[in-house]
Amino acid sequence: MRRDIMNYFIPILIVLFIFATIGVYATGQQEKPAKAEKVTLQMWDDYSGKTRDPIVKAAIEQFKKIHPNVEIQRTVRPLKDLTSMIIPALSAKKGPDMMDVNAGEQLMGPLVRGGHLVNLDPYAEKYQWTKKLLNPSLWNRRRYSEDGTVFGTGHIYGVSFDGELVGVYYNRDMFKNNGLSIPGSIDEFNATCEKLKNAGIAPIALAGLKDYRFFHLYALVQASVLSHDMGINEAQNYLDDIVLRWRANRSFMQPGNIEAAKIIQDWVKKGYFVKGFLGLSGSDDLALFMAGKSAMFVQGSWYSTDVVESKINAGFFPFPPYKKGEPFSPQLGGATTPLGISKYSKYKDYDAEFMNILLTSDTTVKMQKENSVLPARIPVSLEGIDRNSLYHDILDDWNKSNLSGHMTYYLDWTTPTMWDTLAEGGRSLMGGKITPKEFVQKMEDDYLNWQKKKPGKK
Amino acid sequence: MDQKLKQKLIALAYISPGFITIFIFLIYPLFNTFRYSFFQWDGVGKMNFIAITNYLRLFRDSKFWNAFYANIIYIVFFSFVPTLLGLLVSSIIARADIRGVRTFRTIFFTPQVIASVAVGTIFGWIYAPQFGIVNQILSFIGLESLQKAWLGSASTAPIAVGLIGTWLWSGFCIIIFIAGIQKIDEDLYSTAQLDGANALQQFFNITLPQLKYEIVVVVIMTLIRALSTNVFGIVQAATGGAFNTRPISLYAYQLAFIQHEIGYASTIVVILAVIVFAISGVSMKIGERE
Amino acid sequence: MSKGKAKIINTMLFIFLLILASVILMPFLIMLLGSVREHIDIIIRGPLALPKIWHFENYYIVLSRYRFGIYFRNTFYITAPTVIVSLVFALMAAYSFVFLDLPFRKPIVLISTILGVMIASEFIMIPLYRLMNVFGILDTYPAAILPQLAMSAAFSALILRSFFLGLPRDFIDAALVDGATNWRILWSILAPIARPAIITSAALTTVWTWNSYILPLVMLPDPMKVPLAVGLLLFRGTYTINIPLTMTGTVVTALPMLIFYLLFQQHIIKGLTRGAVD
Repeated sequence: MRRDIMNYFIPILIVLFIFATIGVYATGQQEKPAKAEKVTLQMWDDYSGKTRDPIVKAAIEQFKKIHPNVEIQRTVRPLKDLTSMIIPALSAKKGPDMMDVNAGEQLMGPLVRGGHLVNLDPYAEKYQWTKKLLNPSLWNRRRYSEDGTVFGTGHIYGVSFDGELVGVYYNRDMFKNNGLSIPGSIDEFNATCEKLKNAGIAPIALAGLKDYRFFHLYALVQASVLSHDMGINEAQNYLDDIVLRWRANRSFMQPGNIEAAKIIQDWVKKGYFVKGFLGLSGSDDLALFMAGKSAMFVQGSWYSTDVVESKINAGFFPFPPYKKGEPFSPQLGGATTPLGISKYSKYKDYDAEFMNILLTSDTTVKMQKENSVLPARIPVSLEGIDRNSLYHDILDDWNKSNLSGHMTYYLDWTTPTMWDTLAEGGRSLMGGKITPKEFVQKMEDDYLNWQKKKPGKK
Repeated sequence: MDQKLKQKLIALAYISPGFITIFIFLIYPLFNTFRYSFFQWDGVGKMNFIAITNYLRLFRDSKFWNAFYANIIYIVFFSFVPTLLGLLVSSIIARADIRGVRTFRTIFFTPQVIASVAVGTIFGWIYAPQFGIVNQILSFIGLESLQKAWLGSASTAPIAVGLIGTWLWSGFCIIIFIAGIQKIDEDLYSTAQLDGANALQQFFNITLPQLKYEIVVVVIMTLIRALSTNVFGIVQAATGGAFNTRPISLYAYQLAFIQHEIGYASTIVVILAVIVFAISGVSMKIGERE
Repeated sequence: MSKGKAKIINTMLFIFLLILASVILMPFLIMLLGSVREHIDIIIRGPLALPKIWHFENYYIVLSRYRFGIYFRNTFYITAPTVIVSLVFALMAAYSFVFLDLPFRKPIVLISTILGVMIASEFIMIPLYRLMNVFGILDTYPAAILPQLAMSAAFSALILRSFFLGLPRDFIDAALVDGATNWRILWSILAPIARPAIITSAALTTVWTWNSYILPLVMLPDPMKVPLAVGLLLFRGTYTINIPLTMTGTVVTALPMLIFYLLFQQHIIKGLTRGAVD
């Protein structure tokens, strides 16, 4: 008998032990929320770094003063990692109260269609967010139709507390030493590059292995060329129709799109990028620029604090219009990754109240200006900001962009596969493996494919 | 109770804790993945049953096949090359009297402990066009003409990434094979030497067959890692999958969490599972045949 | 072969090993150097140059400001139960595979070990998350431990099974005749013999659990429960990455494993070779 016990029962006991452990944890977990009026709001965001983290923390402090019983627990991760947390979580109708919901089909679209996000219109109304912040065209990028089939219209599903702008960082000393000024047209931009190259300076640092480096640059050149071809208003319409509305009557096969691709390919042929740039990975291009190994670096305002901390004297200018004297062409940027509220949050009013503090409080704007962030409350007064600082340059462009009412898009928002198409196509284009036309054809194929299966299409 | 039945029940009882855990936390979720592979699903919305459409799509998906070819290269460089290199090096040094073997063994293990994100970044610097170590060495020995952006073209990038795997696993293989060879009865070699067998014959007739078990363990381990996550982290940090360096596992991950094609990603996972299962099964069979 | 000739050959082999070792060690060195250098400095002077200014404060920053102490504790909470429990399960399973009259032996062995070893957690994340939700253990350590435990058990069972297969059956039978229970045979007779294989399995599953990242990332959003591998993400934003601190964090994460290996290397190596009783 004893033998039998040893033979059977111990393994079975172990099995039981596992389930018991799970059970204990499970019950322990479920008791928690029922316990008291002490409330914990979970927030999953990518607002990290010196520029944004302190602002969020300050907002939490303010909120805690109003609601001492509410705790806000943040989980800060890069956007990519957040996505792989959010999808399983919402798929199981769990997860945080507030979270990053990257615009377009990157995340917001699928979440709205799945019915996981709260329509923020009532809160926007209550707190007057649309009046206080951003301009209407930027708000459109936070909207989806209620069934999630149309981007850029309908209800607001996410709100952003700061902005971002992609433009050209340049090394002021290098420009000055070579008698260069800020280019006012693409021709002048080319001439600038040529002059730098002849002076033995690599004009532009770009990491070919970092997918979006290319297609951020492409979007800027494209907007500039299209504005010249179609006129700035029609160019904006065209971009809205393609990126936001997925209109079937629009096509990527535009002479302007091809020309933009050709311009970049020509830059490669003429040697305007740092040597071997296609094999450069990570943020090594930023480091090259900051090390004074290139004169320019085309990227977003999110690098401004890094650049300021480097030893170079850097400035920032918007990508020029096609021809000299043409209006300020649409720049690339907008509001940063928006925050949304989960349908499964038990305390949606608290969420919104906290978001309001984060979005509109004076502390937020004050800290944003101290930390070289672009406030969502526009226009931003330039008073008290050093005229020669990098931040002044960027802020100035941010104001101009918002004032013009034009802004172009991160083209990867267009379709779920567009990121891949742009990254791969861009490398082939820059590597000289395909022609500008073939590159645009790749985008067109992707777009046509999306037309067949875009939401709402049966 | 029937004695035989009783024995069987005892056997089952002994595997039950492990088997149940594996079943609940791995096999059952994998079965769900298999189920998803018949649906069109973005992970958070409605699921549409589309039968085997995903499997048919696989055949026409050039991105999948690109990943497949990349993976074949990785299998060669993450698994076969380290195994062969390990056999070669270990058979030369295992029976020689060399100082500091212990220290060498420690050094050979170091690649194992570095997180794959860091591995990718570090090799990004080794292969970098301007300041990279490979190009610096080439310039040092006067071969400047051979300098390249190693990760910057489809002709060199997959192999360059593959060599990261060779670096990662070769030391490990050497360690294991040395230990294996040192267990082989010295008499076998003395006898062979008396019979006039040369070093090569000794290797094929004694070392190789005696090391069979170690070889199988190493091959299964490295193969599985070449096909699943190990490669994934490294590639993501080094090239992000550019220039035909994206392995199947990374492709499936990007499909699932960036393009929201959970159904199709699941299909690829199922295919990946079948491949690994087949290869490991065959390796095990070969290893245990007497 | 003359003694002199042998000596020359050995010296040549030593030099060869030295070169091989330096190639293998180089990335490790780059990591160590990278942890105390500036990113720009790496770009200008190459990854192997010695720093002009040694930024040892990076270690202080990582250990104090970023709560790496807590991450260490969390990693330990996840790793220790995973490794210990998985070994117990694996020993029992391997014993059954090899010495007991297991029905459907072949398919069970194949399914549990191979499937267990090969399933990458990335690909079962959604069903796994739902499962943990059903059990109600999301955001608790078991949610990250149990799947890792299953994988580790499968791997260890594979190693231990191979080890047991190399053992002679006779003395198990002898013990059975003596009236010993299976439980006693496993723990008093087999486990001590299998020590090298056990230590090997333990070592490898420890390294893998220590570095595993996606499971804790998804299962443990609570910032106070995060292990080291996820803590490394703190040095990365969506667009930016602090390279020196990432390197420092990686060194801090890797060092315990390296020490662990140094302590156990004899056993680890032994266990991966055939299961001869010696």
